[in-house]
Amino acid sequence: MNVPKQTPEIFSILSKGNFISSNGSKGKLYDVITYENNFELLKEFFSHTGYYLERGHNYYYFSQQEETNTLMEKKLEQFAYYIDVMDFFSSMDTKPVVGTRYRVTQIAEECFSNERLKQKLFALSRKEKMVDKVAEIAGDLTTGGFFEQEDEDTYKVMDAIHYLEEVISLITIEDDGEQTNPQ
Amino acid sequence: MENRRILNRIIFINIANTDYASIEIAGNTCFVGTNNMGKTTLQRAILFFYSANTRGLGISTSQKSFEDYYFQYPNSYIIYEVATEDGLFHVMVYRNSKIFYRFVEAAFNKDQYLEDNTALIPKAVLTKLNEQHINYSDQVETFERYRNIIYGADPDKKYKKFALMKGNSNYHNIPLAITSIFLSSESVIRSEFVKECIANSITTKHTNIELKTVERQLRQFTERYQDIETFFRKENAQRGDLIKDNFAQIRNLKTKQRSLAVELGGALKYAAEQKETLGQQVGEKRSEIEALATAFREQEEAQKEKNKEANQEIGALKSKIREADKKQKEYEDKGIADLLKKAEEKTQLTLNLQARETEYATLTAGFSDVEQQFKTLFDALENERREFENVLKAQGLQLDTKFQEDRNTLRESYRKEESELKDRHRHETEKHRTQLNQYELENKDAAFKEKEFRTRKYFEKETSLLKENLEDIRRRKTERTSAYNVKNGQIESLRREGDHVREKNKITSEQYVARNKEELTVIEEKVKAIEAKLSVHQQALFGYLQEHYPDWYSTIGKVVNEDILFSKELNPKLMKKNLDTLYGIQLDLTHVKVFSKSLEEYEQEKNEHLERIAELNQAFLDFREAQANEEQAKLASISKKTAQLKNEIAQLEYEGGQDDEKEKKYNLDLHEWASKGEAQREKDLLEVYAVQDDLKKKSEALRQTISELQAVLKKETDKLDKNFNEKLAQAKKNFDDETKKLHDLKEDKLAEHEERKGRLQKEKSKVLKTKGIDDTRIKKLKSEIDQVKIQLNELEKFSELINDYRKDKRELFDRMDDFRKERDKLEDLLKQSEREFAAERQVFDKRRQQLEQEARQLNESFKKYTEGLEHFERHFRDRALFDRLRHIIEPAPMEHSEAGIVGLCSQLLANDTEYHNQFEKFRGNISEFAGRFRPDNHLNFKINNQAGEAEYERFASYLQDFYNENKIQTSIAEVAKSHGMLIDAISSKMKALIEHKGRIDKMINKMEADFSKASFESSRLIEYIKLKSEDSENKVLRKLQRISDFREQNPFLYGEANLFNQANKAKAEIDKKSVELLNDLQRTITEEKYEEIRVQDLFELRFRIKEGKNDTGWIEKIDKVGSTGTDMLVKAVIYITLLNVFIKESTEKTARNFSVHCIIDEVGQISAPYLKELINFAEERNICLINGLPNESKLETHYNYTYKFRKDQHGYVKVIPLLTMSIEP
Repeated sequence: MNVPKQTPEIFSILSKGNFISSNGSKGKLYDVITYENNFELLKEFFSHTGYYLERGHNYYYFSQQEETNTLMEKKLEQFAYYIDVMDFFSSMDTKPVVGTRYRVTQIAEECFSNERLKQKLFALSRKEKMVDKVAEIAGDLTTGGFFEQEDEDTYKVMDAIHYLEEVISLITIEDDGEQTNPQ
Repeated sequence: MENRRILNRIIFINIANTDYASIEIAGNTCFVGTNNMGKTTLQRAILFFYSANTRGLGISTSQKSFEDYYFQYPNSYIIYEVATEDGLFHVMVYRNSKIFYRFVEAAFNKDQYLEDNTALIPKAVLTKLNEQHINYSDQVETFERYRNIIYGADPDKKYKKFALMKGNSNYHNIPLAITSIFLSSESVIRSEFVKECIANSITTKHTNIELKTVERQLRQFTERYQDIETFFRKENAQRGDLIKDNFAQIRNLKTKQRSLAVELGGALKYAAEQKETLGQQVGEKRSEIEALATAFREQEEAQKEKNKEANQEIGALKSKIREADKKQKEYEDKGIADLLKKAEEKTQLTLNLQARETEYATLTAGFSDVEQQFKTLFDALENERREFENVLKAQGLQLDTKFQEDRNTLRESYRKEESELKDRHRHETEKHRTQLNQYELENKDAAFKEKEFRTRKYFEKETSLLKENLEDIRRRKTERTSAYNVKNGQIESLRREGDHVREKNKITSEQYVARNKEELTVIEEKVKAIEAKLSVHQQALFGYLQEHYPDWYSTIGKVVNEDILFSKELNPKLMKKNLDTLYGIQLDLTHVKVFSKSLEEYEQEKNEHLERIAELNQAFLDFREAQANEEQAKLASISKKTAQLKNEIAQLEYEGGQDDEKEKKYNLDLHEWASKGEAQREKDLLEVYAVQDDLKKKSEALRQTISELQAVLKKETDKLDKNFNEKLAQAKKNFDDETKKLHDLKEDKLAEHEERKGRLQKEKSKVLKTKGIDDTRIKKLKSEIDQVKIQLNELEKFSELINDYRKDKRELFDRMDDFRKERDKLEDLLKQSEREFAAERQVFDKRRQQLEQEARQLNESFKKYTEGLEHFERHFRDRALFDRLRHIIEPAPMEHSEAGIVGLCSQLLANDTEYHNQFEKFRGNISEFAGRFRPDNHLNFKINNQAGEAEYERFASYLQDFYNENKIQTSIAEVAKSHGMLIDAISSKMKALIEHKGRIDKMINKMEADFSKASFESSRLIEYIKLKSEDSENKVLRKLQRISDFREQNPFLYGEANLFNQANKAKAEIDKKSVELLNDLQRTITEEKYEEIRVQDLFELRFRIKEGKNDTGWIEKIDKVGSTGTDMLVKAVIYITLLNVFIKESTEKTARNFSVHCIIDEVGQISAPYLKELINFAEERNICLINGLPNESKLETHYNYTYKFRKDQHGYVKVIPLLTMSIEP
């Protein structure tokens, strides 16, 4: 099996739970995976490690077939947080569309002038300064691979944000059961 | 007098803390003085003579600058007196804001500078020099110039006499070496330092490769390359297309929005105006209806008023009739008929009574004269008969008169009734005829209308408008088709023009490349030839001559060709020196040109060729860039025009599409209007038909009525005739009856009279016979009289009743018919009037209905406009959309809109929603597109996402222009050029650097040779000092080398104008590799953090020193060789060797008749014998040592000059010479 020479780098990124997005600084790796039949090759190759290479819209990630309940719970908690963060960014004037560049100071400014946004931000971070709060949540999204930090103040929305959007779109709010009471 | 050139003396006047000091240093010199006495100040001043560089004197930044420390006063001077073969001259250094030099052609004379122990200012000094006719140079204002003069490199010949030596272009190494030795106070000698010195001795700083610059260029290139790569990514190309589509849609939506806004603006104004007009019209219609209703009400009132009288009359008549009937009945109940009959008998009774009373009186008066009696009786009877006849006559006359009267009355009544009947009939018929005429007129009208409806063009305004629109569309279509053809033609010609430009450029480029290549090949051949010569020159005659026959250029050089000069097989041997013959033949070569070239000339020629190659390469790159730019400019202009045309075509197609839609709509509308028109025509015709039918029926009915009326008239006339005839007949009969009755009565009476006369005759005869009285008769008479009287009384009793009856009869009963007729007439009149009024009511109703219909229609329109305006106010005005479009809506000209305000508002809102949806997508696509590029990408795909919609539109517009003008090609050309230039620059710089490698080796060899002489044979202190060079370990250098090698391997392939052309796979591979190499280099530069690659980075230098039994092995730095003294000695030896080598390298290869100073401070730890050896070692190399010692010791005895430093009572440093004689070696 002739895997690309970048395979170790790809593995080291994806195995940490990160994404490889086409519009990120690791866009070259995205190209490598996309090149000819590399995806199938790598999927097969990585499957022996217990990781399954998955393809999203312009991004790649690893999934695992079997996960412990604790891990699942942790992921769910994480997701609950991400949903709130996404809600926060979606409430802004500039929506978190792929490729959008956010400046921490700019977000903080918008929060100063938008009470609703401010409240959301306060619920998300306990840091003292507004700028620090914004930096914290932007940093969290960056850690998750949904944002990428371009310089001290600027974050860019990655293609992997589609993953969050898809997961959020899969959530169905069921009835709480109180209403349905057939005699 | 010295037979060599040397810095003889240094004089301080007001320098630092010295007021005056003159120190002779034309040999090995030693300064003794404790610290802070000014030793270093003096040594620096000496160094300044050689280096003329205020910065390279080891003065730290925290200390005062050289100028400020040394030249504190305007009359501060450092004087360097230089000894030459011809005498002395001195260099005056002074400061006038900056430091200046003057060369004075005389030995230093204190008096020229000092007067009364006070230093003069430079001007005064010059005055003095002038007075003494001493020549001095112009003021030398730059250090560079000064150095050039001192090192004999100044082109101005008048300064030649002030040169210390005949330096070549590399003379800079000498001051550098002297400075380096002075400054290298650290005890470690690093190979780096030696390498630096070697490098400095053979090159200038220009050959260094500034890595910062290279890195910056590489970074720029890489970033730009990356930008272009990003541009060509599949995702971006797709996204770009999407943006284009979105943008077109958004623009269309905006256009539509604008046109809708204009339409809405027009419709609003139109509606406002219509609202007012229609409101007024509705008001007018209402008033008209009101007025009509009022008028009709009045008319109705009048009618009622008019009818009231008639009704009253009818009522009166009716009451009369009722009363008459009632009375008639009462009379009848009272037996009026009998009473009347009886009353009619009254006259008869009265006559009868009179006759009976007369008879009775006669009978009772006496029976005297029967004859008389009977005569009287007969007379009476005759009288009675005559009376009766008279009565009868009177009655007959009366009857006759009555009959005549009755007949006349009847006839009159008949005529009257007949005329009334006829009048009434005429009146009614007339009315009906008028009505009939009216109907006929109306029928004609309806027929005309029918004709008119049949030919009328319904909704002509609407259809003609639609037809106009359709005509417009057809006209536009034709225009568009021709414009489309023209534009397509233009696009085609532009495409051909573009192809032509490309083809032409390709040919030009090929020709240029071929030419360039040809010339390059020729030059490279030449370079190779020179290199071949140079590589063998040492083994050939040329090398031999260079070494053994210094002036061979002017002799052998004129008669030997290059082949012989560079032939290695000649085995030259010097048989006899200075024999100017060629195989024994003397030649006068004065006028013969030197044929051969010197090594430097070869080097220069080679360099010229290399420069030419670089020039050609640069020219190639320039040409390529210029051509690419020119082509790009032309193509961009063509693309721009094409894009413009395509845009126009797209616009035309869009307009065409819109027009097609409109055409369809208009055709549908036209069809609808036609159907509507037909429907309306049918409706109208049906209405007309209905009216016609109605009229026909009515006319028929009227005709029927008229004929009926005529029949009625006839019937009534007949009835009247009959009635009249009957009545006449009745009257006649009554008359006849009465006449007959009278006749009968007369007959009866006459008969009775005749009977009575007969009876009387008989009685008379009887009486005459008997003469007696008969009472039965009287009694009978009496009873008859009484009975008549009773009857008369009874008649009297009822006479009032009869009178009343007669009166009533006269007034009422006889006029009953009149009353009835009157009543009927009145009723007829009333009916007639009502009928007439009903017609008027009908007209009124019709008119009112018509008006109401019109008002309703107007009201509907009014409502439509009002509702539209209200809708606008309620659902549109407060929206942000209105604020955005206000500038379009408000100034729009008034115009009717088919769609209506509500329709337009909802269309605008729908359009806005669509616009926002599209814009969201548009924004997303742009963010994604721009997000793929670096934030400061050179293609300028940047978006400020806070800047609003205009920013995104600007971006899309820019992107469109970018695609249209194919601007990426410009970037590609630029990147290709910078790629080529980078590789060229790296390659040529590397070449230039590597060229030095030979000289480095030579230098190292020379150094080693010199070191071998430094073994201090007498003491055998140093067994050997060895040097060797190794290949460089510098990673950056290796990468640079790889690029240079790549350039060599791919001289022309590496860079066409397009680095991104995937068509040629081999070329794509080469391009990819070259880009990878550059990336690799950039990464290495970033990682290694070198600032530059210098000559010294080309090699590694290793020392090996054996001192006594200490062998250092091959080391990079000489840290500790032995004891401190030994260590110092070894280092001094190395320094001096280096300086010697540099001097040799930097000066003309002529006899060396100058000495320089080597300043090494703090040599106190070297033992006297070794110091002596060191001094000798230096002296052998024409180098004078200037050393500093902290304390006096025996060491100073080895120097030619020894000075002690001390301070006088004013704190001025005084330099006292201790020994002034030269020691014997």
